[in-house]
Amino acid sequence: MSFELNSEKPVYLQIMEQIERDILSGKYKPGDKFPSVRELAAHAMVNPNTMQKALAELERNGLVYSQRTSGRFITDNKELLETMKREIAKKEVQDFITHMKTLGFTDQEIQRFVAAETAQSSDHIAKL
Amino acid sequence: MKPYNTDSSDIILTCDSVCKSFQNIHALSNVTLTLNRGKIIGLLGANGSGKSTLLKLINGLLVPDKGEIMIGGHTPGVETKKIVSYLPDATYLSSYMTAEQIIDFFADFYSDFDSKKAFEMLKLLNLKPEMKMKSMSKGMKEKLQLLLVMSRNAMLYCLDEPIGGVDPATRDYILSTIITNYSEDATVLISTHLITEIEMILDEAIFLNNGTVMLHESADSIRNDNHMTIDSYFREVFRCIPNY
Amino acid sequence: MYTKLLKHECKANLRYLIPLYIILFFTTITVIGLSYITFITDKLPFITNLFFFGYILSLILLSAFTIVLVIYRFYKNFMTGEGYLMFTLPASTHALILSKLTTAMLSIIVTFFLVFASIFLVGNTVSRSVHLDIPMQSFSLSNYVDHLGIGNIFYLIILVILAIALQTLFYYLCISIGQMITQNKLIGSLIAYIALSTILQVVALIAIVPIGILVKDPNNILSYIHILLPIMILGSIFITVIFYLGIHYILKKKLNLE
Repeated sequence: MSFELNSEKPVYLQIMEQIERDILSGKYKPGDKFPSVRELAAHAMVNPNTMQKALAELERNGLVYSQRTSGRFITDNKELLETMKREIAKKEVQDFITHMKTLGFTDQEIQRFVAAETAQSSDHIAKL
Repeated sequence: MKPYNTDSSDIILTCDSVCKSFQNIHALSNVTLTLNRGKIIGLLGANGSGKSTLLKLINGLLVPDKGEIMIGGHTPGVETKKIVSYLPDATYLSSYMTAEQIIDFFADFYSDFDSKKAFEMLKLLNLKPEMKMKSMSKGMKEKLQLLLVMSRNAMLYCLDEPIGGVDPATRDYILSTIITNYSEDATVLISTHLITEIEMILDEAIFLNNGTVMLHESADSIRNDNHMTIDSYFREVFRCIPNY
Repeated sequence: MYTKLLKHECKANLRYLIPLYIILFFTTITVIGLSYITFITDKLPFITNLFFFGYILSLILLSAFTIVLVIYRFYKNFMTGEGYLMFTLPASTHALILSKLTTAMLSIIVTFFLVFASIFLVGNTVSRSVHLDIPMQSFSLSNYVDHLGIGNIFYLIILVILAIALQTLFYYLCISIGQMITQNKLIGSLIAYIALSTILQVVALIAIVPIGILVKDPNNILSYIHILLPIMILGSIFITVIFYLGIHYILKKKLNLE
């Protein structure tokens, strides 16, 4: 993992978002056990307290829960995962549309772009 | 400087107006610091800024001309050496000894030394216990010296330029070893001039220039308040310091 | 801590001394063997000269090497990179110095004991086999005891032990002062050696004066030995303590590891 150190966002939030993406994309399976804070911190090459804060944030929004003696686990609440995934997708799309609009495209043009690009990529996958 | 630490039971080290000179060169002038437990702290400064001098004072290898250093409530001496683990910027091991003999040596002299951990780390590095120091490469020696220091359950670890002059893979190994051995009760004080490589693992940073403490703050607040990396901010603060 | 340091230091010294002791053993046996051959065959093989020369050489080298080893260990273990390890051990400066001093004295005493034992053995064998005109008494210990008296022998032994301690601490002090005054520790030690030797010689000269006044019969100085020896012992103890305190102070407050 690499982090932008001079951005407005503190490092722990960046870590939190990275882990969030990994969970939602399925890289970590629901119910999986997390390695210890130290192992995670060592892997990411960040301060353990920073990693701790990131995990605390993840616990706060329900993606991760901890059991006193056994450690931290990814939630197996599939509904929550789906909801979060949809929220992030929605935000991505909104950002995209806003950006496209600043370039001067209309709603229909945007839709056509999206259709063309997604068709292309599914063609590409079909050829493989 | 913001008053940083408040809870006295959390404090592991204090420096009170410490001064040290060598032949009319002021290595340290009025250094006042408080270090808390459970933090990884960077002692950042250019070469010759007094970092090594401060670490030597903490470890009782030098005596301050003025001022006082207290570690866990004692001035540097036999009692503090039991709880401080020091990695100097030098090869300090006898060349004829084997890795195993050195580990046994440490186990003999330090009651907080974890032999099992040391041998495990040795194995992970693919270093054979029978290997003599003189047949080790520079990188191997550095890793061995680091693992000896980190195999102690000390309250304060002082690392003097642990990543200077090593290849990036070794550097990563050293940094992840420091992180993995982190304990909430212990403090790690790392002195280095390579700020970019190290700032991600720091809780706090101390800027040292010409023997004076310019700053002592949390890593996050330095970055967030100034909207730049600690490395960039350091260069800002000491504009005439060349890059390393 | 002292015992641990002592154990470690003895092991380090034995690494160097044991091979040399083994060599001494073999050269001694060789010379004794050759002497017996001469005794039996009543002929002196030419090769004996070479071996004898080698034997004498081994005695000199072993003795000199032991002293050099003592100095080298102090320097290497305290003043070079290893100093970073030794002086951050949870051991007092006293324990550090005393462990070195004890090991040094043991090394020197063992070496000289072995050397003298070897000489006695060889001397006894050679003088018998080669029909040399060396008085047998020279190699008989009991002769010395009768001549000097048991009390004085006792004082002499103490004086010899003190002299060993004093000489060792003298070298340690030179090295300690040397590392304090210059960056180049070897040159500093040499300077300290010259300076301290000179001072000691001056002190010795001054100390001799009252003794010279007190001794009324210079021709029979041995009769004063029962006074002289205790005075010398006290003087040696005094200087030894001063040297020790000097070394302790320098290592504790003026250590210069670079």
